[in-house]
Amino acid sequence: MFKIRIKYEKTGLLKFISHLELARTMERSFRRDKWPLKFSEGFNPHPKISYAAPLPVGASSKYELMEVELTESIDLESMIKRQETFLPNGIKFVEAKYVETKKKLMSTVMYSEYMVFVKTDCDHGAFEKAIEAMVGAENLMIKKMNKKKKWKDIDIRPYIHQLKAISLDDKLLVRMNLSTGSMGNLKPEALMDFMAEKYDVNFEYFRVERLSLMGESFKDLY
Amino acid sequence: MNLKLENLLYQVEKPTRYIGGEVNAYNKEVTEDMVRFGFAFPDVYEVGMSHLGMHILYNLKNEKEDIFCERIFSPWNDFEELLRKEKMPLMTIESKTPISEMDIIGFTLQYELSYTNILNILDLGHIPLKASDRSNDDPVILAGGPCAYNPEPLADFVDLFVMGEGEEVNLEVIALYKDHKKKGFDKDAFLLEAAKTIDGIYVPKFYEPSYNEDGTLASFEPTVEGVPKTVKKRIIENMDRYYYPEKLIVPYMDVVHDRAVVEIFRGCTKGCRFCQAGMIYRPIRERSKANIKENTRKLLDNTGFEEVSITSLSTLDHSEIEDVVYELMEEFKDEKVSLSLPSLRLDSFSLDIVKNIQKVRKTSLTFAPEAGTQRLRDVINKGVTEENLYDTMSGIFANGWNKVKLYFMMGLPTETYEDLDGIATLANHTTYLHKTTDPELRRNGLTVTISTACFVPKPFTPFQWFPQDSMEVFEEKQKHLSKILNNRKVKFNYHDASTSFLEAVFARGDRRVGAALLKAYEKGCKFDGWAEYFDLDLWLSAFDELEIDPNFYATRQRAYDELFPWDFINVGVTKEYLKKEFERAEAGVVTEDCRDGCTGCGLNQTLIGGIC
Repeated sequence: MFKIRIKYEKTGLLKFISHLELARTMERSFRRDKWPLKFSEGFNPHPKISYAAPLPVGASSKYELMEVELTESIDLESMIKRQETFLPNGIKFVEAKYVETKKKLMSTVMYSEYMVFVKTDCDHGAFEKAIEAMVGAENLMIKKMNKKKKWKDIDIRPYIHQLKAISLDDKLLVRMNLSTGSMGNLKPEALMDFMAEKYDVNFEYFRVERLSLMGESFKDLY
Repeated sequence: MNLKLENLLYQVEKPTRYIGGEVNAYNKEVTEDMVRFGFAFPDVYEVGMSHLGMHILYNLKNEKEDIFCERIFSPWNDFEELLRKEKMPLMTIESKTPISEMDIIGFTLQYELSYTNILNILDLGHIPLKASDRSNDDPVILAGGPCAYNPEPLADFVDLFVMGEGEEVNLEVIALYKDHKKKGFDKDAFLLEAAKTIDGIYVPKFYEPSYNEDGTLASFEPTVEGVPKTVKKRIIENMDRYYYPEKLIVPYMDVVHDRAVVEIFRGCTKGCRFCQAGMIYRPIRERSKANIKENTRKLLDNTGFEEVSITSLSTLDHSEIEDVVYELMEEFKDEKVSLSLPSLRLDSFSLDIVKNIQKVRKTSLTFAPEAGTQRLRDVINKGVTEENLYDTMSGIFANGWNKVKLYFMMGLPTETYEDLDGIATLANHTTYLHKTTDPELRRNGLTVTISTACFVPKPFTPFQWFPQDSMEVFEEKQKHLSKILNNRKVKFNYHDASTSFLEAVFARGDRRVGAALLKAYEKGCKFDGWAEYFDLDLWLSAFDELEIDPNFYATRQRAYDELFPWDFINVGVTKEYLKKEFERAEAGVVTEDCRDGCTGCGLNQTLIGGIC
């Protein structure tokens, strides 16, 4: 089995395409570069490409992971060098390597690190106070609708592993480490909306960028 | 992209519509001597990107160093609201330039219900809607496509129309524009020279209609010297020797037709009497198998699409279709590229071909018998027999298909309720055929979908004299069909008759309906082709206020000797031929496929020489 793990960036205008749109885009990019893709069996064969964690529309990322299965090996160094010939503007391959693991990439993800840029007229101190309160809280309850269309009370505190405000002149950044994946998932948007609702802060908008993906024990996922 | 625009994209549905930057999109550095062309498809991105004509012209123009062609689409309502609120103009997809900075904007006229969107695009671009209000500094507004064969409803808004296939003539227009730009641009001088010297160009301001007491057209004459009395359509004569695009823009978005598309021939020889395309795209011009294969190979290499579709008006009628399909499948099977064949005819249907290309039999197969009885099918010259239909149905059911769609039309000439009942007979017999198919071979869970459209008589067809059924009659017929199609396995779909009514008004409208178009737009009409936005009452009030009777255009029986607003166009097929065909229709006489023997449509006298 030839499985390539690729760390890539999704930035620029491509932050607006959805995960599904990205998946289609990647398949076509590999076809253009004539990768020896491995296809699934059956009536509707598709290439075996998997992703660690989907990125919501509007978020950019410096650290995304995908795995691609091939029928034979290709030279990764030259592939990285010629990436601009087959990748769309906005996707950049940072690193690539062959991996032996049979485990599904998605099952190994546990945490994401995000940097959120906040556009606000509020005093930054107010945000720092809110964050301090959230970090110190025993639980933080939100209402979420489950699959059966019923509202459930969920405690999001256990999903927050780091939360810090960074004030750079008039710019406010919030750095956070949140649970990602099947063991628990908290999106930065949900956290920001919670903050605005429960605390004395507000913002015009915020922009999210993923900085890294981690597995067990906060180990680098790549 | 500027920050202000980017911030708007966070507030809209499907921002992918507006970002551009796709693989194979062009983004040129603009120079002094470049002509900037905006190709405008008056609907949203996902609809416009499915139009092959745009891709052909986009690539053709952009391969010229001195032309930069960019795309313009209708913004969806949420984005439009934001643009208006922020006082931002509509921009091109490629460079995000305000569309008013284009030298020429070309609209493609694919369906009449897109006309209000054309006005909306101009308005969003801060470009005066009426040609007479525009100055030398405003872009030249050009339009082409099948609806240009009755250009009159848009005559107030468009500077010049292109009749026929646009590849060569677009380049000629741009070259002439470039010449005029060099010596200090004067729009009237440019339009005059275009009308006088370029075949296929119609400039409405140089022609004047006059009307009889009864409202019909009395005359339609040039108002200046040197412009042709008859405008002859343009065609690409040899498709093998002419241009085809080697790449297509690969959309990020899931567009309506999200695949590589290869045109295999133009024109159609069946002569179905309701079909405008079959008349206006003559003569038939095939591409050779070698050319088709080369085109497909290049497109797949340059795009990476996982599906390719071969397209034409009647694909299975290509003279080498079996070889084309088998060889394409053979070549691409290892790459796991799937081949799709839209537009299948029941009478030349080859089960073999479909079996091979449709690997996933869960999808539905669509056929168009169009009419419920043989009598009516003969009238409309759709040569499909009951035997054809039933043989085909038996064949597909025995091969695992359990979803079939059958298209029909209502309101065809000489139609009676007996013909409508025939639709139910066909539907019921189809379900019966499935039931009696060998249980080992058939897949259970049959759905037969019967879809009926409301017939709209079109210019340049033998039915162009025929009145459309009124909306009331359509509704009665729909009710009747609903009642008799009470088979559990049959689903019945029909469109609201009011959109077809409006389509009919503009399809055979004259220059005066343009005023109603403008008024309806001012009242808020747009996206008329979208059921959730179409508002009949607004349209009717627009007609009413202007004292224009829409029924005059849609539901009136026209006299044989009436002068039509589109008669000044030469599409190749003569009016005499259309009259003859209408008479044969009324007598229920079939006209054979002209590949089997010339039927005298006049093409080889009026348009092309020799044998067609």
